[in-house]
Amino acid sequence: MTYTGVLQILITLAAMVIAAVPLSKYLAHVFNGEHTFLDGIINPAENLTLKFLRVNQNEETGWVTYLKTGLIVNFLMLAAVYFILRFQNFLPFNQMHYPGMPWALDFNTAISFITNTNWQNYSGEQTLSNFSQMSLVFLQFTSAATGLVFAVAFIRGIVRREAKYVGNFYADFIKAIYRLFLPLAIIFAVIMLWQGAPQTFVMQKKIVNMTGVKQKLSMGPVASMVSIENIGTNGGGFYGANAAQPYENPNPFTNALTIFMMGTIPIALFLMYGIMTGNKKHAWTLFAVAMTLLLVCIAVVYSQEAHGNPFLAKLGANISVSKNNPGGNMEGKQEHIGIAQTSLFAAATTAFTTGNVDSAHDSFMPLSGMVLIAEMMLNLIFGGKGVGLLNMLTMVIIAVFIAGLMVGRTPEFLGKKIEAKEVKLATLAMFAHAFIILIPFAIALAIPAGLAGILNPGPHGLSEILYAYTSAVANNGSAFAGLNGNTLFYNISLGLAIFFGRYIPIICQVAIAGSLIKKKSIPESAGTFPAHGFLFYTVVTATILLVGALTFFPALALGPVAEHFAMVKGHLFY
Amino acid sequence: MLKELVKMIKLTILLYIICSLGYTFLIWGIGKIAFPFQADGSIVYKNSKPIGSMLIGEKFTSPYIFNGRPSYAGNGYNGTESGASNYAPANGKYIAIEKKLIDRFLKENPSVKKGGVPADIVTGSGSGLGLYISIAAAFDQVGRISSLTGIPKAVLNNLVKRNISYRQLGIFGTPGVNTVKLNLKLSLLIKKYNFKLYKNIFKGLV
Repeated sequence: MTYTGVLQILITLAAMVIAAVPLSKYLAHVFNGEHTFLDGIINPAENLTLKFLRVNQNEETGWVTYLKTGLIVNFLMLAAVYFILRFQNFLPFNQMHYPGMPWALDFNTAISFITNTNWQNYSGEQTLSNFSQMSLVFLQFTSAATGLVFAVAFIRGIVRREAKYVGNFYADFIKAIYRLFLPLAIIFAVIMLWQGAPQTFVMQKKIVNMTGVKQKLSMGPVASMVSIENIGTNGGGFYGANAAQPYENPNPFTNALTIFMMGTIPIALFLMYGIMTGNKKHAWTLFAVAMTLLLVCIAVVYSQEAHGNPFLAKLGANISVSKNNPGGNMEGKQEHIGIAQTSLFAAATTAFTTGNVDSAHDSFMPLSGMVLIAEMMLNLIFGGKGVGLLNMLTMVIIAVFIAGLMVGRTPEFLGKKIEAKEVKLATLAMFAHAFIILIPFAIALAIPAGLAGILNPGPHGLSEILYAYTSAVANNGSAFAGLNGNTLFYNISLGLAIFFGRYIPIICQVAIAGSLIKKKSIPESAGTFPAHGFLFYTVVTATILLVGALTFFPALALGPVAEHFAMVKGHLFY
Repeated sequence: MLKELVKMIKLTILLYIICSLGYTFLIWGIGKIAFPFQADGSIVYKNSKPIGSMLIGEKFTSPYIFNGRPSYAGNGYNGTESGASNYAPANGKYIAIEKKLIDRFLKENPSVKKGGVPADIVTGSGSGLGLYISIAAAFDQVGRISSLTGIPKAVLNNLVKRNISYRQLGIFGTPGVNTVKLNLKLSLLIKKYNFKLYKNIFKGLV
């Protein structure tokens, strides 16, 4: 670890938080239907759209209709993209004449993109036409908006008292895209373009290098995809190597910018929640919980990666940092981007459930790999669009419930009584997440089709499978990419894990909102447990760690922890 | 219900047109007008023939020039098959490969002592297309290139120094050397010192 390394990590994080503050105010205005500075440009477009759809944005609905509309819209978009990929050979922008995607891979891919997961069992530049890549961009916008509007509905469930309606899905959805994702995507796409990301409809360029070696370069509309894939915390890149491919991430500045793109909106959503509920202290306390966890994770990853691989040192490599030699564990990392930026990127992409990678996570040291898996298991360190906030609030409900049990009072949360129904739904959401990770993981370990995909022997192989299901269920999409996921078994089982991992928790969470919204507000009394401050911070953090540790520790112990201790003893796996 | 379904289908089609087609073409148009070089992949031309991209690494394996990092993109630096080795740090097969790579680097560059091989020059990059090597890895190759080409060491050391890419904005990243840029500059030196050799090595430039 170096002084400059720590400094660039802190600067990137600080930039995110500073930008998140004004963004959160803007977002609160947008979803409260208040005036914003973009009204002049966007109002006409938005009104035209709503008129075209014949939607009256003041006509709000209850949570069931809101949820149902969202899910059906998701399904329609899923179907549209499934057919585009399946029949891409009949569609334009396919100079390389790539065939239609096989059905199982297509099933996996379409589900993966509509759920904001962007798990990729294919290599973009070798499988997809530019038209197909563009259709995935469409889902990158809409899946991000879906997560966001469900979080907004949840917040309204807390804010509104003795009410019935959570909002109008269409209006919220359009607002999320027109007023947040499109403007930001355009700005950042232009910056990425300026820095070197291509934007062309040529799929391949053949060249002869200076040494006379023939080289083919894959290209396409990369800049537009890189921008929304990160702003929408989708993470599905144009290339197989994602942001490790220099065209997607040309230099260290774009690397920091990419991290900035993925982190700013999730942080802003935490703060927006504070503004909308009128309890900023509460939101900043939750921010502190998530930030603490994030900092710990970054510290572990950075120290492990900077320390490097002891086996290489034994063979004669210099893994320690000096003036001209950055050292560290460089396998699968870009030299100019460096260990610090790469570690931050990895910890951020799993925290913000983006899943974009600028390095090979599979080649990380065992303990950093463990941290990355753990971040996705918790899935609430700011998290993805909306869902990170939803997961955090689910955990808060459980924490408040446990605290209530300890003092023997009916738990309250922001002026509302938390009763059996909410606690049951919150517990269900939490357990569904764990079950959908661990059960298929156990099945994959027990059958030949599951074990066949492993690249690295020993406990690391187990980690590869664990990473895959955790990433799928957390809707992250990054991978220990040594695992060959493009098999019938993995395409289907991961596809299903992604599907249920996304929608079961969301359904439970919107149902909690539907239950909370009906309740009346109870005035604060001397016995009310304040939802901010150090005590609340401690209770929530402890709940997260206890629940997380009890659920997932055994699986982690068999994989990365075992690998770490074997490595310390100098043991190699064959 | 049917009325609702029509709304949903209209929403899907409208957003497809805006977010997929409209957005992509808008950025494409901006690229055409404002950043044509970057939009086409930062391609470098020599005698109006494309010879590479300023962003993508190339297979530099000849001992006469600066070599890049090992690549796992296809059969090495294949611009259509980006990918890493994905080997775990304690994978026995990986360590065997590393032993060969390190021993070879030590043999090719006798000035480097065991224990001094820069970690990056014997490990694969994240995409197999990374074109940066550490400053140490560039300096370590100077002795070899000097004895093979006859260019004085001091000249080559100067060349490396002048081509260091420092931290961006003074903060971001790790200093390194862009091998495409460096070898292009090296080609000019070799042309000056040994024209016959130049024609043999830089076939794409003559």
